[in-house]
Formats: sequence, structure tokens, C-alpha cells
Amino acid sequence: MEGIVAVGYGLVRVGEYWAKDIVSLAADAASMALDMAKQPGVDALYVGSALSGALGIQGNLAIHVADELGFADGLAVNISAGGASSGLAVLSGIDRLLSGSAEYVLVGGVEKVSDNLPSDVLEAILIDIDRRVLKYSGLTDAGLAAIMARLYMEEYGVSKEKITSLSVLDHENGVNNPYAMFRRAVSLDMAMSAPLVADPLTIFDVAPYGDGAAFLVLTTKEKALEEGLDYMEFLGYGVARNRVPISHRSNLLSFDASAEAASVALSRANISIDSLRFVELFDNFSITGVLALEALGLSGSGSGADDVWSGKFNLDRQVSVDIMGGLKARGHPIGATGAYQLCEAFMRFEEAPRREYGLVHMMSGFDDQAIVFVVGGGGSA
Amino acid sequence: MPEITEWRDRIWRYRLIGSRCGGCGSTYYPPRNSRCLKCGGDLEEVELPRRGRLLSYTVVYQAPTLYKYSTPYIVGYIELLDGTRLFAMLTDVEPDEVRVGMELEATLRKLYTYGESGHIVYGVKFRPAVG
Repeated sequence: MEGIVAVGYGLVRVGEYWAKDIVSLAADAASMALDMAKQPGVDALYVGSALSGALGIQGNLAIHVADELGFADGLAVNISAGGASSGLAVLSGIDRLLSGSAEYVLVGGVEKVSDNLPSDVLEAILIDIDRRVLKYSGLTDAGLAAIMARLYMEEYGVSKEKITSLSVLDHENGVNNPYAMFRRAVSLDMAMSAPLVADPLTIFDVAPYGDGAAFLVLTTKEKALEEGLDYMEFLGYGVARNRVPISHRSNLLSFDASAEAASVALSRANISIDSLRFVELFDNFSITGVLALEALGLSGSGSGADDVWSGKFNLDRQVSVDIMGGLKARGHPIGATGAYQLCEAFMRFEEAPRREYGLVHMMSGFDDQAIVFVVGGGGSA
Repeated sequence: MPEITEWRDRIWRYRLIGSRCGGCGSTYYPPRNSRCLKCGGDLEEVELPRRGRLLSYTVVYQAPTLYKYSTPYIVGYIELLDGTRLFAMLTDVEPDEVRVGMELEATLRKLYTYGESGHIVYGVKFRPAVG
């Protein structure tokens, strides 16, 4: 794929917005992105949100966001696909541009979890992942991750500390992200001894759900150059799905969809994994981040946690992981998280003196549907 | 959430019914309505073996609304005697007694009660096997 770029990003710090409704939260982030892109005429809007309908907050969200932004005409589509919602919104916008049906698109996501009780949000998330398996077994998303973590520890003889070291890395890097929910470093001892969510996972192994909105303005590279706009380039993407329900998979520890999506994205971009400067994982849990590292090809099977533990992916290394704090420190506004990852990649490129490449991994559920983008920016192309 | 979904799923949930492929013998729980994932063969409903082995487990401390009065509770990842894998709550066992590899057997238990209607939902849980 060629010639599609982002020319604006906008986001709000992940957290709890008691005084904001979902539409105005989305509009705040979208307006920031539109300002950066010098207020172009937008031909289509794609809004990802996992739970706005399920939680009874606002159905048919995109038309409300479009109206709030003053868009008189043009397509307004909302996409609800769990953690992949905003990633699919970005993909849809790219496809719209590639088809020639639009010159500028606004894409992103918004989630509002603080309007409902945490236990009700959790129930909506479980039904979003798989009603039959999770509801009838009492399993939660963290519980499923915990079962994976225990399997991983048994299978590879890896300690829990090594898995949790990914959360410690996230917090260390999140200090640098002004939009992160938690901007403070934590020690491994603190993470290990925190209250259990689902044994053996503590609150530090679980990315915190939060309110958030993030949007990007996309256009063609040709248009960006013509208008003199700074940009981040989309060099390749891949999408793949794993088996659902998860009990029908032969190996819980193999994120086949993420592997396939990454392989397709890198090959489309014609970039090898060694030439990446950074990788953003969809680490909704410490263990899923570790499994994603292995699926993407950065670590061998069973060595992801060891690699993180040994510092292989720290900020000063060749390929750094979760440079803006990952899902653990930035926070996880479910249907908006993918858009945050891309906004943060753009922010990173603005600071980079040389041309760099990054890989952004997203998924719904547990590798149920995975999306990988390879992006480039920084310096002159 | 609509309670009719629990009613519609009651038979496979009460009786531990899965699907088995007539071609390659693969089994699935919950049952699939479509074709076999491995070979594309036709699937038929089958009552699954009620004994199995614990592959992994967790103790849930933060629960969704329906299970909020049940915490802490144990959920297991279980392999039945015919190789079918599933997730189910464990019962008649305490968290510190659970061991990966332990033998389990299926039993019918109450899962949860709907608040307003008082409708009780039953399903299969697993307990340590006797004998």
C-alpha cells in the first residue's frame, strides 16, 4: 500500500471524565486532530467504540459526533469490534482514501466507562468477548489471562516476576507520555504484592479501563505535501482472526492472528522486523503482551518474558517496546485504544531526528481479531 | 441482559453436550452449529465425558455483576477424557487445595440468580473426582 498518511492527531488524557459525555469527549479529541491538520473538509468519519451501545450510553454514535463537529454531510460510521474498534475505523478510513471516494477522513475511537458501575462494565466486556464461554463459567477477561499466565509458567518454567516485568517497563515508559493515565514508575515488588484481580494476576498485570478519545486525520501523501503538512505514513497493514470461542483453540498460548497480521503488514511495507525502532503492543494484560511479543516475531516461543526481564526492549535498545507506556500505564479506553497507539506513534515521530519505523499491534479479545500497522515518519522521507 | 438466552442454551449447559465431527472426531464445547474447524466435516451433538483433568485455573476476585456475591471463586481450564477442552467453575474445593493435573468430574450446580425475576440459572461445574 502506498501514499496514505496521517496529518493530524488528537487525544485526551485517559482517565475519568465525570462532567463530559461521550460525544463531547470525542469532539475534544477530534477537534485537536482537525486543528493540527489545518481544518480540512472531512469526507467521512469512522468512530470506534466497543461499549457505547451495549452500556446504553449512546447508540449510533458516529452521527452524533459528526453533528457535534459541525459536519453537514459525508459518511458517518461507527464500528464496534471490542479492542479492535478504532483499528478497524482507521482501516476503513484508509480503504476509503485508497478507493478515491474521499480526500480527507477523520478516524478514531471513544470509550466512556466511568458512567457505569465497574461490575456492569465488566459484564458488558465479557459478553463482548464471548457470552457463552465467559458468562456460564464465571470467567472474566482477567481470569482468562490468568489461566494463560499459569499455563505459560507451567509450560516454559517461567516465573511470574518475568511476566510482570512488562508492566514495570510500561510504567517506566509511561512517565514520558502526557496523555497516560498513570505517569509514575513502579517497582516489581510493588507490582507483585498488589491485590489480586485473578490469581496469579494482580492489578499491575491488568491494564486499567478508562474514559478516552483519540482521533487522526488521514489523507493522501500527495495532498499532505501539497498543503505542506507534517505527516506519519502508513506503510503496511495486516488483519487476521483467530478461532472463537477460545475453548475451541488447540493452543491458548499461540496468538496466530497477531502473527499473521504482522507478517502481512511487514511484507506489504517491505520492512524487516529488525529495522523497526519501536513496537506498540496491545498488552491489555502483562501475559497477553508477552504472547504478542512472541507472535510478532520479536521473541521466540517461551522467551518473551525472559527478553523483557533482561531489558532487551528497554528505551535505549534497538527495538523498544511500549515507548509511551503501553496499555498498562497509558490506560485502556477499549474501543479507542488503537487510535491512542497510532497518535502516540505520530508523537514519537515528531521528536525523531531521523526516519524511523514503528509497528503498532491491536486486537479484540484474546487475539480474536488482530490488526497490525507499520508506520513511518520523522526526518525527511 | 435477556434471560431467554439462558433458556435457549439450557440443554447443552445442563447435560454437557458438545459437537463431534463425523469425519475427524474433533470435539467442541460449547457446541458449534456450523462445520468442523479442522476438516470441514459435518458435526453431530454428543454428550461429552464427565471426567477430566485440570490444565490451568484462576481464582477470580473481581467479578461481573451476576457473580459478585460468589467471589472469590475458582475457574478451571479442563481437558475431558476425550480431549475436549473447556472452561468451567470448580466447586467443592478451596483455592489452596487446587492443583494443576488434578482429576475432576462434572456436576450440576446453580450458576447465578437474576435480581429482579429471581430466575435461577443452572449449569455444569466440576469438582474433585471421587474414586
